[in-house]
Amino acid sequence: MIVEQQAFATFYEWVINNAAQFGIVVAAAIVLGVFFGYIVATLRHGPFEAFYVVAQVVGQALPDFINTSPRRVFAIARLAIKEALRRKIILVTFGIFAISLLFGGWFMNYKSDHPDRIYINFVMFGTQLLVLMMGMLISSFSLPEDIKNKTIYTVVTKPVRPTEIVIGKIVGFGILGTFLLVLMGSISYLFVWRGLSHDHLIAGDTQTLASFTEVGSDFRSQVTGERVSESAIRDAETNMKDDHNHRLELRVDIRDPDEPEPLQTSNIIETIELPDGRIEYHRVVCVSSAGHVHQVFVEGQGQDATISLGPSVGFFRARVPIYADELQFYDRQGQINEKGISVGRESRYRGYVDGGDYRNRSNLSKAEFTFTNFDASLFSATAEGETGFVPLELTLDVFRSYKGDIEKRVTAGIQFESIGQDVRFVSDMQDFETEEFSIQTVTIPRKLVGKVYSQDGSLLREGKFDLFDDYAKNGQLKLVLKCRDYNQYLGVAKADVYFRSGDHPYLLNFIKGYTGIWCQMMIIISLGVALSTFLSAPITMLGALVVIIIGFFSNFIQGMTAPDHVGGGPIESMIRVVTQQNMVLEMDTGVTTTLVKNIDLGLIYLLNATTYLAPDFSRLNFAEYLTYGYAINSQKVAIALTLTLAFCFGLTIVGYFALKTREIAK
Amino acid sequence: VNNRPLVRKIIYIACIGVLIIPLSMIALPPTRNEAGNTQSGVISQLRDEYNLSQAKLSEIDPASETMKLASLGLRGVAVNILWLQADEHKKNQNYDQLRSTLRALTKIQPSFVKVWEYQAHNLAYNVSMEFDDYEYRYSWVKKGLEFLKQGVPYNKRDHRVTDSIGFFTGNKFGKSDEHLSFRRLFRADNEFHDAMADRIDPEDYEGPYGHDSWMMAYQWYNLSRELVDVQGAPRYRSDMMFYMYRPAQRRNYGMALQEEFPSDQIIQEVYRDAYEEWIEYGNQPLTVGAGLNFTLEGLAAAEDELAEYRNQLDELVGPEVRASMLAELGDDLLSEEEQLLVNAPADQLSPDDARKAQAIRTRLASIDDRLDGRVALAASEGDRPEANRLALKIQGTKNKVRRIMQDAQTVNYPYWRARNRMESEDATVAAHQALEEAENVWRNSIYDDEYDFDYRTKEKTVTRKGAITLFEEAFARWAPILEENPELGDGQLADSLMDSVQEYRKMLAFANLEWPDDFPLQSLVDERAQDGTLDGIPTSEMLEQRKADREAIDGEATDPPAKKDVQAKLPATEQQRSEQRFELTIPIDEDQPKKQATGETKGNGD
Repeated sequence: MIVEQQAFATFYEWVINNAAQFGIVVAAAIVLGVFFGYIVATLRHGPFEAFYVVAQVVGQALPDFINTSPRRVFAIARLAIKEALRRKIILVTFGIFAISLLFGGWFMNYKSDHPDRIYINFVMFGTQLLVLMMGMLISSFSLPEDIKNKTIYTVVTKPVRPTEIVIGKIVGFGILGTFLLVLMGSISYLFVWRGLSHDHLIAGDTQTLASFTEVGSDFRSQVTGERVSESAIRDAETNMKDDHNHRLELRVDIRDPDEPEPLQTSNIIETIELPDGRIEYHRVVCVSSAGHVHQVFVEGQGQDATISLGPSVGFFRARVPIYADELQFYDRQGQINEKGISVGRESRYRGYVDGGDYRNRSNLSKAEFTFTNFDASLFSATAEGETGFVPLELTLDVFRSYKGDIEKRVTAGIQFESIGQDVRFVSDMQDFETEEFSIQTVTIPRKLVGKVYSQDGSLLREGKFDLFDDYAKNGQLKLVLKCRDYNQYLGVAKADVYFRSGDHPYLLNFIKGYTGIWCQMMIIISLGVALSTFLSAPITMLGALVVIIIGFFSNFIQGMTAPDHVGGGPIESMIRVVTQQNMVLEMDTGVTTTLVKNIDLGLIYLLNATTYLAPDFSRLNFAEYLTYGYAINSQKVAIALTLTLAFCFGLTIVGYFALKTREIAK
Repeated sequence: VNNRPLVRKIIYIACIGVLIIPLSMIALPPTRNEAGNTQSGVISQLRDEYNLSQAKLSEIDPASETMKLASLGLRGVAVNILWLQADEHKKNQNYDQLRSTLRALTKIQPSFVKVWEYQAHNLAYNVSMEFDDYEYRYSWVKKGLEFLKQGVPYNKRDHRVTDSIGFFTGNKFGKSDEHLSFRRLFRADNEFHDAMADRIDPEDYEGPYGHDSWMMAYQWYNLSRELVDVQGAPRYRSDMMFYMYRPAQRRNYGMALQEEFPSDQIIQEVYRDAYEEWIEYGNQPLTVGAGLNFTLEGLAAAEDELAEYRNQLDELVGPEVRASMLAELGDDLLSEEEQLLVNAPADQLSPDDARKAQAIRTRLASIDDRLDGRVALAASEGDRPEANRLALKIQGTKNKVRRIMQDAQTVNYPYWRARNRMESEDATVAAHQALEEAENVWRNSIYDDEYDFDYRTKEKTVTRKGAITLFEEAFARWAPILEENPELGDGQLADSLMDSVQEYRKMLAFANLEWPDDFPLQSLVDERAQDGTLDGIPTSEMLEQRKADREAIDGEATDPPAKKDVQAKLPATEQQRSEQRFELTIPIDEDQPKKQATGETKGNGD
């Protein structure tokens, strides 16, 4: 589950970091454009005449752009929409989308642990593919067809500027695409929602406690043989729906009279007052299965109370994580270890923390997360008051160096420390069993038991201290993660541990996700229009397709062109394939190898350069966030929109000059 | 003339129309007419005949067909992309996505059995072990099995799919490190049993202790058997291996129950069934390449046949011929030194000498092979054809005997035959129960007997037996069983017995007692001595040495002989032992550090 590979820059940081580069690229583009134009003009008119021609074209450009009339742009846009509608590409696209949704169920794996991920992936990928194809088709066929059929003359003979033609086309197709995207997005939303909504009944004769069975003495369900929670006394199963069912547990919750009432009361089936004044609550809890739970409702009290399950909870999430600013690993000796221990996993995403061994109990291996700007205002109501808590979510990987206790999960421990204060707050280690390959929530009480040390290390006092007001008084907090089982390892990456400040509305997140697709579509439409001003329709389409492919695989291509890529460049790889040589073996030294390697260097450089021709679509793709249920940061959306605007503007200029040089638009 | 293009188009359309008629007739899918007879086109018939793909309309999986069509002929490319994606998902530990990619992959190439097998193995073995929680591991094993089960309808006539499901079910639930936990979950997992119910009836693998994973494996192998034996599907394994798997599951079932529950009549019955089915397997005619037919049970018959043919040949040429030829050959071939080597007991030879002895035996066997041919040559002119015929028969039968012995060894036939028979006997159940009782008492750390001592009569009444006594009693029960079944001296049962012996040895050492002179399983211990895995248990040789030492000490003793008499008369073994402990000369731990180390590793590895 890798959502956030590395820390991302905020919008302002991004703009500041990239503004200079952007400026250089624009300047270089202008110089190259003028130079290229001059060469073309020289071939046509000779060197002296060319100078005037270029000057004239450049001179006209500025007024053309300044005097662009929105009214005329929209007129052209209206024409573009009409023309595209007449081509029926939109209709066909929508038809394919509808059919794929109708029969999508055939290809989807309902029996997944996370059906929501499969659904979202399916609709997002389908929409993206279809919308981009549509954008490519309508934009690349429009102008060349007009020119071929000479219908362009009915437009250019009117007082319109080339800018207006290019922008009008982009806007027109953009409006149409947006309309289609909104339609597809709404239907997708309904499709996902409908596909995932379901309810369950308790398996058994009645919908009461009578269908429950006593839990075995070893904390094992007698119904399924699975482990139950320690406070469970009875359990039952629900019926199967969409290839999954849930286990229901009757849990006991004993509270002191001075403790506050439980927050959730809808699932309390019995309240017993104990002789010593404490209150025992019996509540029915639904255990998570297929990535969700159901809220339990109880009508009545005691054995005859009717138990019912509400709609699923947990599918449509937009978690807002508060990530650490820094992650530092330490080895057993307490020395800094940059990437953590490697346990030999192919993916190097996570670093590992060592659990030590019984001969080496003072194990100093740990992962330290540093949070800055951490305060109570980031959290919603849960963190308030004396009994408030802060949800911490973790996605840990466990690596066992030996099987150990098979029926017990590996234990992890977390601890909080203050940074840079006059005194040092250190909380007690909080141990918990890890849950691999899922987002595990550990609730951190706001009042944490711990110790306070002075600067010289002497213990000042012990007691309960406030997470925000004491530990993170200056807004800085250190979270220490340790592996608490000997000879076992815990894998963690920076994005694996975060405080969950709350949830964003899912619909808003969904819209943000589709905004990413919209950005991609607009770039493709602009590209299609720009290319079609000087290329024929099939070539334009091919060009757009190449850009899409490069855009989507730019990371892959850059990976292949990295200096440490195993197997060498294209020719070397080909030689290895044909001669069946091992990828990691060095080639025999000699003239041929030197020659091949040098040619490869050139080819790799060229290949790498192509990735800069296309926008990095991974920056515009937010599907992963929706799939895994994380809120899409608005800064990211802003970056995507800015990137799109920059590309559209740049392509409009290209389109303008290209059209200008053609006789039709003079 | 002006309408030429139109005419041409009409001709084309007419041709297409005409061609469509035979085409549709050829490609007609099977349909049933009013009389109830099935009609189908030639292509469907051929498909059906060669089992090429789903020939009937109802069998066609629309999702699979759509995927194939949607790849627009680029099926190979699509498959490659999906495989890469699957690998990438596995690498990044996105196991959910891995599963859905595999689903798409198998929709595109549903009839490629190896894909199903390989990827199901990936899920059930490689992915499942990545999970820390054994319940998740269990659920991923199930996912692998359910995935593989989806491949059954696409490969209806391929027993390898059902075979693999059987193998994964048995192996993963019954033999992995977590097998006890897995089998416990399996018994209660009605959801899984329901999911499998469309192929195998859960009642068929439900025993007195609940649903059993080994018996589920049995049912899958049973499906393979039906497929091949009843429906005539092709077989992709040798006879010997193909027919071995199903009966093998029964004894695995028995062994698993023995590990989980106290020995009783139920387990005895399981072994009885296992024995009967193993014998059935032994009587199953097996065929190998060169048309050689045999059964594993037919060894004795084949040997009799061989002896009979040899007798006939000897009668034909005269009984003395063979003896003289053999003597001649033997004398010629074996030097005195070689003869010594061949006749020496195997355990007294150095590895180098053992190799030499083996080479000599091979040479002798080849002489023996040719001997019958030579004997036949000695026949008189008139008897020659008959003698040659007999020599040929002898050669054939000899091949058969060799083949049976070789195959029986491959599947460990005699061992399992003896084991199943032995386990289904009352004496063995009693022996198991005795050992289990001893182990229970040992686990509670009660080593010595508890007894009431009457001070007046000096009589001891044992009120509760300690682990040492119970172990000794249990071993005494095992000794005759092992004696009757020498095949069992090497194998899993002997290993577990040796584990108990080791526990017993540690107890003796702890209680400062000496190894008894008449240990019931001493012969088993001696056999094990050759592997070097004894870990301090004394062999007969050591006991002899101890006896000799003791006698020597007694002889040298300056004490008056009276003491000896007193000692000899002492009745209570404890007292005797406690005095003798000073004379302990058997090396237990200190003298064999190297052996101990190897023993320890092996012990853990089991």
